[in-house]
Amino acid sequence: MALKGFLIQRALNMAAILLITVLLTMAILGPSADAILKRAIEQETRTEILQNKELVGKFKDPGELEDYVKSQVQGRISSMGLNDPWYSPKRLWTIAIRVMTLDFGQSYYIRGYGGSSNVRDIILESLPRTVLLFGTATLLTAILGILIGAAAAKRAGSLLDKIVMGYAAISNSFPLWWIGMLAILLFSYTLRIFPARATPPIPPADPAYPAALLYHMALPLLTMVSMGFGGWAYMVRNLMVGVLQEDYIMVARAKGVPEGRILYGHALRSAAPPIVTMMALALSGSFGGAMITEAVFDWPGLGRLYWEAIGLLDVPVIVGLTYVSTLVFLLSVFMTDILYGILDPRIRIG
Amino acid sequence: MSALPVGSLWKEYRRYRSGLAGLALLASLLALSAMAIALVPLDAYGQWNNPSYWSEYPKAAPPAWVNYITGLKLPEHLVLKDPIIDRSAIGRVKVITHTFRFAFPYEAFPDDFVFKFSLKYGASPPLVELSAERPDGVRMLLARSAMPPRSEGSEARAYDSAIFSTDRNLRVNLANHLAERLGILASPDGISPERMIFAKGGPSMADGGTGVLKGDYAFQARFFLLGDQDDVISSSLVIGGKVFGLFGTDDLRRDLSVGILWGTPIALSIGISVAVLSALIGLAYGVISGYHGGRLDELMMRLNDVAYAIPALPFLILLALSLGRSLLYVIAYLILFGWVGIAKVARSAALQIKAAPYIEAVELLGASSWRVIFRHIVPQLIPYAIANIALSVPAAILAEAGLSFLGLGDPRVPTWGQILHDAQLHGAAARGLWWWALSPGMMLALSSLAFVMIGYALDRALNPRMRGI
Amino acid sequence: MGGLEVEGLRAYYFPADRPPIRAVDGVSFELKGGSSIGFVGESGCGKSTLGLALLRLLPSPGRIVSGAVRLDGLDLMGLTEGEFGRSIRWRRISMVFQGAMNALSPVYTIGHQLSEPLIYRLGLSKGEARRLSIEALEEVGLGGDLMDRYPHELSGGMKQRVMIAMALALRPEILIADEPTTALDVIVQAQILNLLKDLRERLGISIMLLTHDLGVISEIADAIAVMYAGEIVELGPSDLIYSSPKHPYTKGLMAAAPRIRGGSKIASIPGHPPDLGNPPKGCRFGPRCSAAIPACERPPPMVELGAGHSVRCWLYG
Repeated sequence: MALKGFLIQRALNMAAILLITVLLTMAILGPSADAILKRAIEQETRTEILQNKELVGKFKDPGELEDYVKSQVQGRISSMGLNDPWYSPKRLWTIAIRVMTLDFGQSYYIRGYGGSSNVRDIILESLPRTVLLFGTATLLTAILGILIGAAAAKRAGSLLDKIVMGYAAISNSFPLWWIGMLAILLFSYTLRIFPARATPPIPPADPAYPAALLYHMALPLLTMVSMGFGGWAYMVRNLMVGVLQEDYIMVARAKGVPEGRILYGHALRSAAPPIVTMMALALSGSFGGAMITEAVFDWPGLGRLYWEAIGLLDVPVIVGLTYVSTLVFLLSVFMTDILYGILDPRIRIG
Repeated sequence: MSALPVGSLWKEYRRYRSGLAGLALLASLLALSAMAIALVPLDAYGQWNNPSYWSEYPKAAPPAWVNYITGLKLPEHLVLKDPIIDRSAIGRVKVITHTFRFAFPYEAFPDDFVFKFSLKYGASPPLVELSAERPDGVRMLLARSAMPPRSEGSEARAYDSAIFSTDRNLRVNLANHLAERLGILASPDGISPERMIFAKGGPSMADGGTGVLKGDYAFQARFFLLGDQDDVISSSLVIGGKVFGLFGTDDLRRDLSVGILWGTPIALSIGISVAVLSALIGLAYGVISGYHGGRLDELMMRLNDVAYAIPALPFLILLALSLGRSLLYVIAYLILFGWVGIAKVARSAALQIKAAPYIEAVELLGASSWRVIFRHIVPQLIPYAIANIALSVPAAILAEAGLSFLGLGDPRVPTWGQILHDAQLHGAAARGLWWWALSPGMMLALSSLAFVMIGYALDRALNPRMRGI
Repeated sequence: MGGLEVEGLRAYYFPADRPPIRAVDGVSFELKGGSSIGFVGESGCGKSTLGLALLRLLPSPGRIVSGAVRLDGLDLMGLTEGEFGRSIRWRRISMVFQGAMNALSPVYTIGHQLSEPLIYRLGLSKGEARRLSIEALEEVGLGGDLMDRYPHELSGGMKQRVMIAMALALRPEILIADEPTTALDVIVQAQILNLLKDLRERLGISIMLLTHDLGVISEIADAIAVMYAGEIVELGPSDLIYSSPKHPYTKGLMAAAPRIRGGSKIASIPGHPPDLGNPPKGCRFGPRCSAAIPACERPPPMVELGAGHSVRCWLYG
């Protein structure tokens, strides 16, 4: 099957979904954000002008002053492209195209560390930190979950198995952010091992920053991994139990293949495609939950940025972040399909 | 997909202890909901965001049962509203006595106390006298004050006032008490009324240096009223404690048991309604799409793909911000994201079933599409739908809790997530106010656990391959 | 070489809270070295369980309950798991499993799976093992180019041949073939059977064939054992069994086989096999037998009829 055709088709699919996402975001935000922004611009402009005594002094007639203020406000609004209603095709289209090509424009209120208002820069500043925390957490969770899940599958029905299943059920029920609060209570307040806020108190430019970041990452990472691997172990265990019942496992055993090879070679590899799917979806799904997790631990990543942007209704940042998260999700689905093909020879050919 | 009749499904389900435990947990949650509706007055719940309603409660007080666990017996917050009322007269003056008796077996002093009263008087302002009687028989005069005169007329009108433990005249009166009764000279500023009243006798009792005198106390208020129409309408005494109730209070003095108890039926309603409606919509969507096939199917599945790809949480937040956050809206948003998964599965099931020979036969016999769908396809999907619903409920409950935690919940309807939001806002975790964070989260976890266990057991009962493992 | 003696072998399955399933309930037979025996019977008669039991591969909750198995005089039941696994299984007795469709691991190449026993049991290097595996493929009539293919790329017949090559990797003395031709079309069936015959002649292995297909048996078996409900009901040289079947069940099987020049009607045996968790107290075929007599209330013993032919039926003793 033509790999190229497959790739192109998926890429087009992705593009379509991304476009719809952007348009939806703007549609939802449009009306309210616009009104608020216009009001804000008006207030800002008015204050600016009225505080400029020199300028005010030039107008004899209060009516004239008012007209001047209004025209200034209008000018600003036009220059920000807010003249047309939010649903006007011109606005929608230009913004949509720009967003798709990763040009998110300038933010309304939020500024980056160096004072930049370029949304892309702002996002890129926080992106690595989110990737660091969530990437590491997902990786560790997956590895731990796979190892424990495989071990439990091997001893299906045993005490270890029951404990693993029980733990999976329990850790799935507890919201991660609540456990985070408890973790802070225990480890920060009571035991004083970790800091209560996961944001290092020094600026990123400081040479001691990376070490501080890692230290501050410890508590969220620990919490996320210990709450996460249960679900993984459960899914891996169930997949593996099914696989271990297959005939070829018995044949391999009969042939004399050592148990370790059977478990991690024949069985795990066979179960690998769905596991990899899970991993890819977990990676991107965790971004969705990243907001709450980062809020609880106060981790300086994209999630917290998103939260700030929403609080301020900083539309360009919101649109940019929504796009990025959808993009990440779709890319991971895409990569999963490819990986699936690589791992499972049955899918590859024919 | 096998369709098990209900009877044998129950028999199979019964074999799983976890499933039974889940049902038991669910039953206790339902009982808790009933308790909440019966015991906690609805207006207490409705007043959640009204600070003045909670002014009599202590600030950030741990639950009362903490006293039984730790050694130190902290004073419980006492709200006394039913005094013993005595009426007598001295000549033309009516003397109405309100007496509050209470036990004080604690080992630490109260934070403060407030005596509130409501009078009705006309031209002649009454006199109020407050005194405290201790277990050792000593009586202390706390306050004696006249009410402000009326400016017009002699009509008896209502007047509300309060005597606070922080009022200066209390300290002056207590300083006099020390001087006259015990010969101790102390400056009024060195006296803490809430301590001295409850302190063992001795030179340093002015600030409680002698320790707490445990026993039965009585606070007595005497009202001297002159007019015929004059009367005392009501009075109450609040002894500010450090622990309160079953779940404690938060920084805004709110009794957490109200929020937690009432949160139960709210959470259950949200979870179940979202799960059931999502399942119904998803089922309908998937079956119709799969059965019709062709272009309609393609179109519907494209829509499904898009809905699947859209990141849920950011959009939930955007929707909540722009369109409104009332509880019904939140439920609608959650359903908007909830139908997607089950629709996909229902569709592939419909495709599979549609291909079966007996469907062809039924169609040839002239059955209409609706008949085929409802009599043949849907019944086979019901067991799967039930398991799906059971497992969706915790997701819905946690999703709402997450939204509320971020501050986007319905502000008029406090849910567990809301309580946790306030806790986070006030830095409960960092300040060690563990009871604020622990109970709401525990309730969330227990609710999820109940449905997860039920869902797991249902899953195993319905899926033959998983049985016995 | 390759002589097997089985006496009174019993293998049951013990499911939770249900009576044990007596899948193999007292089977005795002898397989002479270099010869072949075919076990024929309906599905569920216990032949697969018999094969798995002989290789100690019974899936839980199955267990060998009692019986004696001797390979060239060596008592196999006395060996520990480890000893059996090292010296007997796959080395001296090997098996081609039912449903070769699923007996090959989908994620490894044919070459890898053929090499596994050579590497893990004989300690050969990858290169040597590969060489021998190619030879094995050629032995079963396949090309060495299959070494790097995956199982899903092969047809049913090719997979079956690979299974046979894999089973013979360590040059066993006895090969148990469980339904080697099921799900294959007639032409491929014939090819596989020819292959088995050919291997028997060239390598001198004894073959134990388990099948429900009388036609397959007739091609390859020197002796036939007819199994019903966990027991052997008739045993003897194949020409004798074919020419003069004695047990009513055997007769029924013969009659049920469609013949090219026979009548148009196919006689079937009425009823169905008994529940092995609760088998009949007497002759297990009794309830279905048209020739049943009162004596059939008691379990019949195996009766010698001479010339190596025996039958388990009251009608004959």
